[in-house]
Amino acid sequence: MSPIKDVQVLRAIEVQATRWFVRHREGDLLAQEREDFMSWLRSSPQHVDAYLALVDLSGKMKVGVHELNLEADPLYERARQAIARSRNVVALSPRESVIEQDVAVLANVRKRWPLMVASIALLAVLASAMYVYSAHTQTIVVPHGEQRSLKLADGSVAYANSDAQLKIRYGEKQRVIELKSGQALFDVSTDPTRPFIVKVGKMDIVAVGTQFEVDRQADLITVTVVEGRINVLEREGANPQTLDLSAGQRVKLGRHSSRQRLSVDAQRATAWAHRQIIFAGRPLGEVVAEFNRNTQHPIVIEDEALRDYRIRGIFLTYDLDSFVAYLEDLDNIDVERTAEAIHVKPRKK
Amino acid sequence: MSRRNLIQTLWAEHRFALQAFFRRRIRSHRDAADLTQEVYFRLLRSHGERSIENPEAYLFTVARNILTEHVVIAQRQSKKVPLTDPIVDAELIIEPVAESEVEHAQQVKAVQAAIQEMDDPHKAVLRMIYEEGLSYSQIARRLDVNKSMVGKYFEQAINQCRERLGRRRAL
Repeated sequence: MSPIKDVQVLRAIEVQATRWFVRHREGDLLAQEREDFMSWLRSSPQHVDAYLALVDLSGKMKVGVHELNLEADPLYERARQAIARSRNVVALSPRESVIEQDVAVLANVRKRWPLMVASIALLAVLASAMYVYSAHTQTIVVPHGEQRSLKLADGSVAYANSDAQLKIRYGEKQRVIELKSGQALFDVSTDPTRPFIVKVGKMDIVAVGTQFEVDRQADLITVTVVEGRINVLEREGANPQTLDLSAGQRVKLGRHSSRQRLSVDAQRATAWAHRQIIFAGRPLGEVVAEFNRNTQHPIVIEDEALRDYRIRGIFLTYDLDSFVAYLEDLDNIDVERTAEAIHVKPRKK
Repeated sequence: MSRRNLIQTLWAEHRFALQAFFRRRIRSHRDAADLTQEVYFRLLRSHGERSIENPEAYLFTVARNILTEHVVIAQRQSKKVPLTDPIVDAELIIEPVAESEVEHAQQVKAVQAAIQEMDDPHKAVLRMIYEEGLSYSQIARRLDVNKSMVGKYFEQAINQCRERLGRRRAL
């Protein structure tokens, strides 16, 4: 397992694991809870890992408590008094059911974007394949199936996905990155004197200090803002058009697209940069497309209706095996492996 | 056998093998990832078995079986130890080479320090759970709180211990 992890997501998984662990020690699980726990485990190898890790932690706590040699009666008496005192001061919120919390935790991850930014900075430090690029022009081509964290001279970071091609030119007046193909997420350091410009085809995306993603696929360009604001400038024609985008907004720019601003879940949209693919009810077609960016052995969906089938789970982007095993586990899907691809089709009744 | 006794028995049975599993985890991340993935695959394959009575015990059993198989294979390759009881051998082989005793002791120390800093209600709950093996209802009666609060205290205590370990690793 790679040391590069999305810290926030990881923490949310730990919180979920802890709740289940504590719940198991309370007494019999209800039939519904048993099912929920199993489907929680089955929805991600990382859930399994986190749960097993808790057993280890709990073992250490047992030893820790034992070695502290706490004297029972005085401790219990003080605890009773402290609880009685606090009861008069704070009303503690009633405990939600584990199932509700489970959902709440996934939702929380998304709300905690500002923290994500900090964690991204940390990831950048952890990333093993990290380079510092200086003022000179440099071209980066990310090999198929790989990702790169590119630390730029001003502290900004570009996360480039599989097959992306970037040209970096840092000057005194501006910071320019040309995205020739593929997908990249930019975490931009604030510098009002030197705008950060991403050039994509006939378009300039201008930012001062913000976080946004650009995806260039054939002649369709998708821009998603995670944090702050950007300005999109179309250089084509006599009257260049401009478009302002703020956090959580996305625009698709192509010959046939309407230039309409769409609202998106920015954290989920940029999950690839954290080496995780998170899907809490996303269409199978979208999820498969994300996995296929990172593999030579793509998943092919044989049935159009199946593309809209919604699934839920958390996987590492390079852990295709686990994802395919997860698909095989679903009741209405059949998986067939050939030398070239993995074929997914509806299960015959 | 009561439910609680069952859990404790399972706990006692699995504790050693599981801890060995995790020490190994720390020694080699690659092996650990493979083992976890194997546990995951087997959980998925179990889907046909509709009613798993105790899913947690099931998970522990799967993890333990995989660990055992892993060790048996490693053993056959090295041919150093005669293959008698695979479970016993699993413990014999993994124990000395795994997560160093120093590392383990340091982590226990960190957890201990985290517990030491907790307030009395949290400490009391931990002592009742780990030293006396009391159920949440029994603890609730003795501390005069409701049962769900006992769970909350336990949960918060676990999170604090984990945070402490995380901070140590980040240093």
